[in-house]
Amino acid sequence: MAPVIGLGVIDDDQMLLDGMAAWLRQVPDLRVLRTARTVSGFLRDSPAAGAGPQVVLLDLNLRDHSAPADNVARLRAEGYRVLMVSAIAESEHVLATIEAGAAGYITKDHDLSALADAARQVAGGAPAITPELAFILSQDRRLARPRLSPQEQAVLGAYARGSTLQAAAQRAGVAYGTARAYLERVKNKYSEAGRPARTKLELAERLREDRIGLDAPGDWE
Amino acid sequence: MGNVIAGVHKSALTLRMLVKMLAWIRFVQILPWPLAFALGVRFSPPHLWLALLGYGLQAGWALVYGGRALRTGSLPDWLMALDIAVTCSCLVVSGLGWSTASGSVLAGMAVYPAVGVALATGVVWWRGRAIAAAILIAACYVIGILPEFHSGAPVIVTVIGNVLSLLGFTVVAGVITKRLLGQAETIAATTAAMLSAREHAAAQHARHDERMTQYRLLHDTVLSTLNTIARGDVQVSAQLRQRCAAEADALRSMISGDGRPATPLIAELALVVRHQAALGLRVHSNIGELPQALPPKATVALVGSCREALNNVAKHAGTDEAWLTACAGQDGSVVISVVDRGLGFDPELIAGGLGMSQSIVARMAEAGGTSKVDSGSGEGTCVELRWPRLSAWA
Repeated sequence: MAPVIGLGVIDDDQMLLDGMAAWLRQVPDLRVLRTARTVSGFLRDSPAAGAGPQVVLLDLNLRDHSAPADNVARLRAEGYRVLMVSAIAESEHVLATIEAGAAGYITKDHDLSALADAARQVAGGAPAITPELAFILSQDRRLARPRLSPQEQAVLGAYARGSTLQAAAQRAGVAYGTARAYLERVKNKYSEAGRPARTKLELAERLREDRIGLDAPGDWE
Repeated sequence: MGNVIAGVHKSALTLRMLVKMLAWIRFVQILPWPLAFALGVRFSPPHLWLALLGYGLQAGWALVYGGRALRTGSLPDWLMALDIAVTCSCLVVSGLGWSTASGSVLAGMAVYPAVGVALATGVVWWRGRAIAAAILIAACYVIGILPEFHSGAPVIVTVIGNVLSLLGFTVVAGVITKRLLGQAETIAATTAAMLSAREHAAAQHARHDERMTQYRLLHDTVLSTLNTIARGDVQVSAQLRQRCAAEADALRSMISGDGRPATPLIAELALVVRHQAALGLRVHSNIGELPQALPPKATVALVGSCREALNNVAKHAGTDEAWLTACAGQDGSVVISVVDRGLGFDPELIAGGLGMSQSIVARMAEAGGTSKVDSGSGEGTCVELRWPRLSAWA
C-alpha cells in the first residue's frame, strides 16, 4: 500500500471543510490532518511542514481578504506544497498563486479521484496541471507573462481543452513524454517568473514581440 | 460618421439623377437638323462640308458624351473639359460654315448644345470653374458668329440674348444643384439620426432581454433547487446531489471567470451544460474572454452545435465527463470546443457519423462559421467550432 499522504485544508467555509474531510476519508492513501479557515490559523497549529501535513489544499479567495499569492508564499516559506482549489477560476489570482509557487490548481467541480490524483502529484513534488490551469495559462495575455515556445503552446492549448495528455500530445504532433515535459516546463516558467522582478530590458523586449505579433499563446492551430 | 456617409450617398444619388437628365438634354439638342430635314425643309449652307463637319462632330460627340453619362451617372473632369473643347470648336466651325447674311439663325444650331454644356458646368463645377467655362463658351460663340455681325441689329441682339442665356443657365443650374444636394444631405442626416436612435433603442432592448435571460436562468435552476432544499422535506439523495452538481456547473459556466457579464452565448451554454449535467454528463466549463456582441444567428449555431456535440459524448463516448472551452482565437474569432476522453472513433471508418456532419458541420457552415471534428479510436473526440472575427459582424 502506498504511504499515506497528510493533507491540510484551508477554506473559509466550515461546511466545506467538514465535507472535504469526510469526502477524502474514502481515499485510503490520503488523510486530512488539519483544517483551518485562514492561513494564519493553519500556521498557528502547524508552524512548519514535517511530521504533519505535507500538502495544503488552499482555497483561492479566503474571507479574511488575504491576498491569494501572499497565502501561497507564507505556506511555501514553511515548506508546504500547495494545491490551489476554488469554485470559480479567477485567472488573475490563479496566475498570481502559481507564480508564488503553488504546485497546481483544480476547481471544486471535480470528482474525488481527480482531486486525489492532483494531491498525490503535488505530494510527489510534481506539478498538478489540470485542464483548467492549462486554460488559464494558455489565455494569459499579460505583458509580463513568461514566453512560451510554439510547441509548448500547442500542447498547452490542446490539453487546456480537456484532451488527455496522450491525445493532446497526438494533436500537437509530439510524443507523450515530450508533451509531459512541455507542460512541466511551462509550469516551471511561471514558478520562475514569480521569483525575480523582471528587468526593464526584458519588459521592453516583450512589448516589442507583442507588437510584431510573434508571441501567440493560447491559440490552438 | 454613419450620418456623413449616408448624407454623401444620398447627395451622390441626386447628382447621378441630374447627370442623367443632362445627358438626355444633349440628345434632344442635336435633333433640330434631322427633324427639320424630315419635315421637308431643305437648306444649303454656303460651306456645306464645313457645316456638316460641325454638325457631325457635335452630334457624334453628344452621343458619346451622353451615352457615357447615362451609363456611369457621372461627369468626370476630363469628360467635362473635352466636352467644352468640342463644343467651343463646333461653335466656331459651324458659325463659319453658315456665314451668310441669313445664316445666323441656322448657325444658332451649335448654340443649343452649348446651353447643355453650360448647364452641366453649373451642375458639376459650380462655382468659379463653371462661370469661367460659361464665359469661354460664350466667347467662342461670339467668335464663330462674328462674320454675321455686319448684317446688323437682329444678329447682334440675338447674340447678346444667347450670351446672357449661356451665362444665366450656368448660374441657375449651379445654384439649384447646390440647394438640392444640400437638402439631400440634410434629409440623409435626419434619417441616419433616426436610424441610430432606433438602433440605440434596440440595443437597450437587447440588454434588457439579456438580463431577463439571466434572471430566468437563475430562477428556473439554482433558485428552485435551493428552495426545494430549504423547505427541508427532501432527503440528500444521489438524485439531489446530481441536481446540485448540475446547478453548480451551470453557475460556473455562467460566471465565466473574471467577473465579466454573461453574454447571451454564455447564458445559453450554461443552460446546455445544466441540461447535460442533469442527465448525468458532467461538463467542465472554461470560458475565456469573448466578444460582447455576437449576431443572434452565431449564438444559435454555436449553442446548437455544442448541444449536439455534448449529446454525442453522452450517447457514444462511453464517458460521463466532457470539457467545454470558449475563448477568442488569436485572429479574433470565437473558438468553442467540446472535448471528451472517451472512446473516440476512427474518422476513416465512420466519417463523422450522420449526427455529427448534419447537426454540427452543416449547421456551422450554414450560419457562416466553421467546425472541425478530431477523433481517433481510443483517444477521445475534439469538436472545434469557430465563428470568424469581430469586424465581420460590426
